Amino acid sequence: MHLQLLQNELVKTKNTPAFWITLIGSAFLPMMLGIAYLNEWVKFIPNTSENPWLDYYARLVNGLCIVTPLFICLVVALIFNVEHKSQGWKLVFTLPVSKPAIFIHKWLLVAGIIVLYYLLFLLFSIVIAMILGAIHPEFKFLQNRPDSREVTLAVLKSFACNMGILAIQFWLSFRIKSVVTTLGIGIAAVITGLLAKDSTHAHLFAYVDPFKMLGYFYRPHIFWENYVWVSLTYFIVISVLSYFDFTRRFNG
Amino acid sequence: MDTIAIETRNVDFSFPRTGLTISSLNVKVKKGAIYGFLGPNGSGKTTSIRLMLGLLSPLKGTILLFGRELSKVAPGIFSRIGTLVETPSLYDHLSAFDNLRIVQRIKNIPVEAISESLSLVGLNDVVNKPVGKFSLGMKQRLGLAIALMSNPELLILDEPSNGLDPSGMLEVRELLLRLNKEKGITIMISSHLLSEIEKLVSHVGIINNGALIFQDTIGALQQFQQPLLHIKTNDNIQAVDFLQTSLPAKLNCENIELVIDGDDEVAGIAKKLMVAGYDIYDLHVSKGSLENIFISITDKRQKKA
Repeated sequence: MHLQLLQNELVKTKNTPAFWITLIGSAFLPMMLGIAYLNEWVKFIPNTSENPWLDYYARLVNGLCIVTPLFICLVVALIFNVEHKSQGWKLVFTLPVSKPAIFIHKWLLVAGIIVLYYLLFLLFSIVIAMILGAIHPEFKFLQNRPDSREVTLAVLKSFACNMGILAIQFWLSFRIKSVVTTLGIGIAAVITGLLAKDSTHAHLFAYVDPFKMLGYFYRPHIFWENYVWVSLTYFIVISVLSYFDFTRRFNG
Repeated sequence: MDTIAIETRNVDFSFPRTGLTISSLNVKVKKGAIYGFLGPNGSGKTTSIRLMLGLLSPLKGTILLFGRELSKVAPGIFSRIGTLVETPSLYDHLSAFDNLRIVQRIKNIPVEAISESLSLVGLNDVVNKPVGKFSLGMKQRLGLAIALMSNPELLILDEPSNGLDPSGMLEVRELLLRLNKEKGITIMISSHLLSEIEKLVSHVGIINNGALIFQDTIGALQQFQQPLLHIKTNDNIQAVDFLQTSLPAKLNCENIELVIDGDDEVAGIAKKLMVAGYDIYDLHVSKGSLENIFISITDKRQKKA
């Protein structure tokens, strides 16, 4: 049954904006940075002993801090909009499937799409750097290798920092039928998070946590910083609450 | 073995904001029956059906499907039930095939069932067309195909002929009759028009203002039919005024119509008109339509409320 439910969730995203936004969203930052490298390529030539991948990923991770929360707000709203728009809940809830199973498989789909977004981001970032290296050998992308451990940790940390937002947007998106409202709330919260990121105790607001990673590669860093714990706590508490809301009170 | 497919016992429900209330709903749908669930728009038909399917939770009372409490047997029981509630739930960006495939996978039925049910509703030539390009009637048919696909023991259909043209309505009626006769499928079908389903149903439940005001066989409802006298005179307008002083006559197009208790009243009414100087061109008695009974039953209740 789990496989069938997962297949169904995947089929429902076929030909939807959610699918295309994941593809475009993951390629957006590497493409933009690639264009910047090509436009002002002299500026980006590294010093003799410098690994160009470090500066390249430092810039990309900074971009990831800003783009990912917006991507999450958009993609989660669009995934649930498929059910709202088609009045699909009344069909889903009159099929022989339990509500916990429906909740878990929707969550797996959303989580899967975000993981796909990060994986595609990594893939596009490597491919574009290789192309840049081929066009301008002075970038030395082909002569060096990225620090894969550091890059993986940065991406994992970005995911962890966004999990609080993911849980909140997930709950809002099944509760609020209007995609515009859900998205509006999400974007307003992300902008507030960006503006408030330097305030005292700002990290206690889930929408600030991804921005705490800005400048990640330019300073000494450890994985388990306070804001990561805050985001994960948000994720656990909100996910548990939304699970009970969905399985006990939500009727579509 | 339980002989009741759907039973609601003293079910109460109200929406927090709109306040539409279902009060003491006691519906009983026998196995093998075609149950017409009738009521004017906004009377509580869809709310009642949503309650029966667990899409809404009752404030009070019990809902039983196949003799077992819904809260204890859901969602497993839905493998035996096909539903179509209001407008069909269809994913517009997917093809007809993909829409049915979603249900087929969950209900764990053979893939062949998809083309069989599409053929049943006459949509086998648009299998791969995106549903967003379907007309309203085609969408309604596809909704029916989804409900029929698992070969259910019980079909719950909320206004299934919405958006269908007269020939489509006739086809659906014939299909449902055939399914009931050949496969013994119990059908509950809601409508706001008795005329639409009177040739189909074996039992009728009439709901108005959230209360069930009639529930019995269609034969029992027919007993309420009273003879209707049609009269055409040389001056219908004056004649109806004259009759209204003592009888409940009304003008309907070119005729005066009035409900009578029996044929023996006809001679008295004719004599009265002739003595008053009216010429009678036509005089005949017909059986009142079931639709009139339905309207009079729901009207009476509305006035009382």
